[in-house]
Amino acid sequence: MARYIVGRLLAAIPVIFVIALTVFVLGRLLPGDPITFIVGTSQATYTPEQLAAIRHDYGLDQPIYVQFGVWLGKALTGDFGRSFQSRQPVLDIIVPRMLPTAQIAIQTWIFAVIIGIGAGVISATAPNSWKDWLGTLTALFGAAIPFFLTASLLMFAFALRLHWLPASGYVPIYQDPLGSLRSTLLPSLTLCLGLAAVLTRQTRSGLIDVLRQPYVTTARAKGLREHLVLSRHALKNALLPVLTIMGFQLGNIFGGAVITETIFAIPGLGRLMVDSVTGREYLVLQALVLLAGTSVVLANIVVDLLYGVLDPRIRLRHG
Amino acid sequence: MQPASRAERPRLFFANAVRRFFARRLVVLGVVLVSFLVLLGAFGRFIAPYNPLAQDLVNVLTPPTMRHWLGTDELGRDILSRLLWGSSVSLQVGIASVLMASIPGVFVGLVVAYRGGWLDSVVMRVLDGLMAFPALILALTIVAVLGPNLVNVIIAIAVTSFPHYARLVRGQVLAAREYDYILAIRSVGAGDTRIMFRHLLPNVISPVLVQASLGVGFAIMAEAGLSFLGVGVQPPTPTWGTMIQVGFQYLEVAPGLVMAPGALIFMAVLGFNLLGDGLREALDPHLTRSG
Repeated sequence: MARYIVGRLLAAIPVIFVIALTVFVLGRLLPGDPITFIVGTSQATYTPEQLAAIRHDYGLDQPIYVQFGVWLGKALTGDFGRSFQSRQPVLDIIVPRMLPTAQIAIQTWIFAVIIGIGAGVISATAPNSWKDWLGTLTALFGAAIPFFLTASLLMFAFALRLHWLPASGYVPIYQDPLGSLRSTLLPSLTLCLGLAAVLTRQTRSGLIDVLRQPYVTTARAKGLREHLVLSRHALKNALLPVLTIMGFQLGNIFGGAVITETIFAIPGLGRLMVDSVTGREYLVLQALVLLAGTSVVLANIVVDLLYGVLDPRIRLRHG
Repeated sequence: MQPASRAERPRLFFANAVRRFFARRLVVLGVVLVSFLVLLGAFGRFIAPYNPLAQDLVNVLTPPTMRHWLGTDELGRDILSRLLWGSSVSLQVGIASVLMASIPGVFVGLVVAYRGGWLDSVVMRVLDGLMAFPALILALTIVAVLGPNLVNVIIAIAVTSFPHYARLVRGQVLAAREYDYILAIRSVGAGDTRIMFRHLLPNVISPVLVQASLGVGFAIMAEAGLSFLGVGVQPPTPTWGTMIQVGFQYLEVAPGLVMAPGALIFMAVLGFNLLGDGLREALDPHLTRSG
């Protein structure tokens, strides 16, 4: 098991290196002097000496590969530079924005798992019935509907017309848990639809395959009730691939957060990203992109490790 | 052997593929939706009743009427005309970005899988790294760096989808490389280029077509997303994304401003997804006999 874990972690290093390199190169692709990236467009307000000092500080007077090394070294210690507008360290801007995004992501996952796996099980246990047909159709629609359409439909119905939920804003969970749930319910539902669609499809096809296997027939033949066959025997195997999807889909949740947080005015990472694009806060943007890419890789490692724990074939082979 | 039987009866394979393709009602729905959108994108601007930029400040945010079938927006512009013009932008982005991602993607995937070795390892790590970024976030950043306009939106979407094509083709070629007929062709002295492009390339066309169909849907959604965030195609160019962005401020009084372009994007993505699913089943050679 230890070798398996170490192997997974080592395999992630080159990928994270490529992510960092991409983010660095993107920064250098900005037209003009890379110092714009650091001081913003307000270059004129700096004296040439100050600019030279900043240049030296960020290693911009050194060869490009040294610059990358310096930048990466700083990034690894959490130093992403300072905002050119507020002069706050970038990390201090990002950290307080993490809670709403994380909360919405976790809720999205919970809703998607309940809806997606539930619909998948219903579809798989009654293949080609109207229930299966309805589930498949809903999954197709859920995968194709854009976030902004779902978000506006939900907002229009539940916030603007029925006034059941707030249309925008965020209440921190430590201040008022119920109010917090109310303020994040619509964004979570918006994001969960696409994820639930993927989960429905995977659960359905996985479960149909597993239900055909001899061990399920054995379980039924010895008189086990159908719900026990499902919960004790079939689902465990059918849901393993679902785990992989959850890891892959984290990226989609991040991408979706950019849109839903803009729509529902949630002060999270997604909204910060849009603001940093429009405000030309390139260092904030750089840090956020790096964070998004790395966390997707880390999530996939966690999924791989869980897989190792849950799947005896992997657990025992790597002993 | 599958490839041999396919070569013997290409016409039958094609006929079966067409039959399997149209056998499913949902696939037919996909074809209808996609054809409708292609027609809109190609000819929409010629049948648009009004100039999409013509303002009529007396009649702003009107509900659907006989003169304006879908009503007017916040500047009194005809929504139907703007949707029709916007469809051509969406279609352009969809097709251009798929071509720009798939052609280099196929080439890279083919070459690295055929060559193997360190080239394959290095390129695959780079692709893994690129694919780790959430697509919309990478596209957003690329447009932010290059500047918001139509061409850069297409480039950004192409860069985010390119690794998927390369990876897909690599997998297919790795499997196809081991077929006996490739060994046979090599033993009669065919060169690498000939093997790659004449004999391996046909193996990857079907999955690439499937991916391309899904890719057009993704590109349309991504363009709308970027424009919605204000970093895509800039106003006053009518695109579905910019229409939603502006319409959102009037959601309470005129929900149609968001719903109409939103519904078209939904139809487009659904259509291309269904088309992709249909192609996947129709072009799978393993289904030839059962089909």
